[in-house]
Amino acid sequence: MGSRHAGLLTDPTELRPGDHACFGFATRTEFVEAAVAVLRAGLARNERVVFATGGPFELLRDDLAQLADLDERIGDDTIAIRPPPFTPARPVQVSELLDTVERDVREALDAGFAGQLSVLDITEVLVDPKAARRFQEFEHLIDRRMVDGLELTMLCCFDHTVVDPDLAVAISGQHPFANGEIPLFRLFATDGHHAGVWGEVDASQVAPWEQALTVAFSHGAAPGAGLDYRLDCSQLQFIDHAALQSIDTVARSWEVQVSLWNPGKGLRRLYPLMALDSVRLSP
Amino acid sequence: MTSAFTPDAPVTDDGDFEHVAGFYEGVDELVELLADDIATAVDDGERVLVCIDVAAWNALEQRLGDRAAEVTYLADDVRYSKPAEAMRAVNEFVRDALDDGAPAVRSIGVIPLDGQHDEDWIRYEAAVNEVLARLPFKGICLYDTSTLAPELAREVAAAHRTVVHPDGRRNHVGGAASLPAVPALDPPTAPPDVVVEVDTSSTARRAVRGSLADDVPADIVDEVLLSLSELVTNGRVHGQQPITVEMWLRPGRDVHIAVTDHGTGIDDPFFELRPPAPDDVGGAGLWIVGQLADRVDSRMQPDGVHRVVARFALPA
Repeated sequence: MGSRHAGLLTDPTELRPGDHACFGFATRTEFVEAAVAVLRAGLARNERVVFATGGPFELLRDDLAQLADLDERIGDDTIAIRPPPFTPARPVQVSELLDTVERDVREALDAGFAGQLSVLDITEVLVDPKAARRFQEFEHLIDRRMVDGLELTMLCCFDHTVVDPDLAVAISGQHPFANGEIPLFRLFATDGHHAGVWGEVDASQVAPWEQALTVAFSHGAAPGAGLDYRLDCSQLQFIDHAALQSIDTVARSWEVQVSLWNPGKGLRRLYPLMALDSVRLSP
Repeated sequence: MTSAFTPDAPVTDDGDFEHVAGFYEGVDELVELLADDIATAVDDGERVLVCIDVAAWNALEQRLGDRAAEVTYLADDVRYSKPAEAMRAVNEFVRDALDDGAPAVRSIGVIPLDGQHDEDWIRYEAAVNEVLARLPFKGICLYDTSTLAPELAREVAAAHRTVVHPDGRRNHVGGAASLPAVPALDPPTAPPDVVVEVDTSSTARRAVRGSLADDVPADIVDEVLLSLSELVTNGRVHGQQPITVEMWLRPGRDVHIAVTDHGTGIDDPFFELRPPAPDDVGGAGLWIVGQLADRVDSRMQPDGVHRVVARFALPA
């Protein structure tokens, strides 16, 4: 089982092709500066870029004014400006959006691009609970497709001053990379239908942790199939008993068996002290 | 602060629960004390756990004959490394036996009074009366009178429901009137290596982790950090801010951590010995600290703050 790289996003421009990251910002200026820098880097890598954020087209075009040959690139579809998904301006279903993204990437490759870079402002999505749930589901499924080789680089941004704190933690934690000290954990897709975890997870983050686990386990396989779900813990630096118990709680609710692969010594010490029905350590 | 232990409550005589102190001198008396009891238990289908030294077990095994194969033997130094480990071992044995359909469980062991941790073991005995009281459990705790000081013998007897002698005499004692006094676990008198006010357990871990890295084996670092995290979480959830964390490192000797909060303290006098209930979500933190640390102690300080101290021995 290969280990996927994850961690703290210190500088959005350090995104590499295939990275999937989350960026919380406090002001629109901060967002635009980061987005422009990331898009510029993507264009330099010959990626087709998608800029998905709310607001009038002309305003968004002005945001990108620093990018060279902007009008030409918009004209030949090297740069696409769109509304964010799951909003009234773009009311798609999860499966529909997944198909659209895959088609976009195929078309980009056919047109000679190295892949696609998407930068999204999902603030409007996250303040709507239904839209947020759809987006969480989409995030996990697109992460799986990226692990499976989809030539996509993705940066999901949101205004953390207006989004519910627990949701902000859960969304950030669903990305392999995220900025800020919170959350302490990342839960991301790995090969097959499995997942990996990076960082630290403790009782203070049980709610977003269980949200992230629920999204992952609910798409592992059909509930009740007795699926063995592997959670790669090679990048897990700390877990307390409440967070470990959460894995068991969510696993039981989705009727999956979870194997903790590559557990560290701390987890190996903690595990025997707990009576967990649906979680075991992989030898 | 309320206590789950009510020293004035009458001792109930629960037919399914027995807690017996057995006094003996020498292997022959030990075998005499145990053999018939174990034979009857085995014949009744009870699950029996025996934790005595190898020489005594060999003698008992001979006396029991074929029945010895039905007894689970555990070397006493394995089970009785510390009270929290002993309580966990007996709880797991009881749970597994009952899940297997055994009608009752009998646990027999020599309690290791060594002159250094005697009060901890006597407190363990008091905890058995409460923690295991609702189970079909018969515990026989053995004490070698050739090494047992008379004043300790009285305390030991008082911590049990019944005292049994090699000649078969049984005296019903009824349990102690009050919790045995246990000396406080005080941290070193030297200034702590780390002292920091924290609002999260991650802050506490970060503050302490770097100070341990060079002098403490990695597995003990994990135990210290997990214990610290659980204590801070407990302080945040059940205590009151501000929460202060202190750490003392004595290389080649031990690590002490202390977590102080402004709440009313821990209600349960046996918090580190009582296993969490199966449906207790997120409520096992203090018990886990009891499993990881060599010793843990909770006290209200003279200034009214609550402090938990845990000690972890280091290899010399």
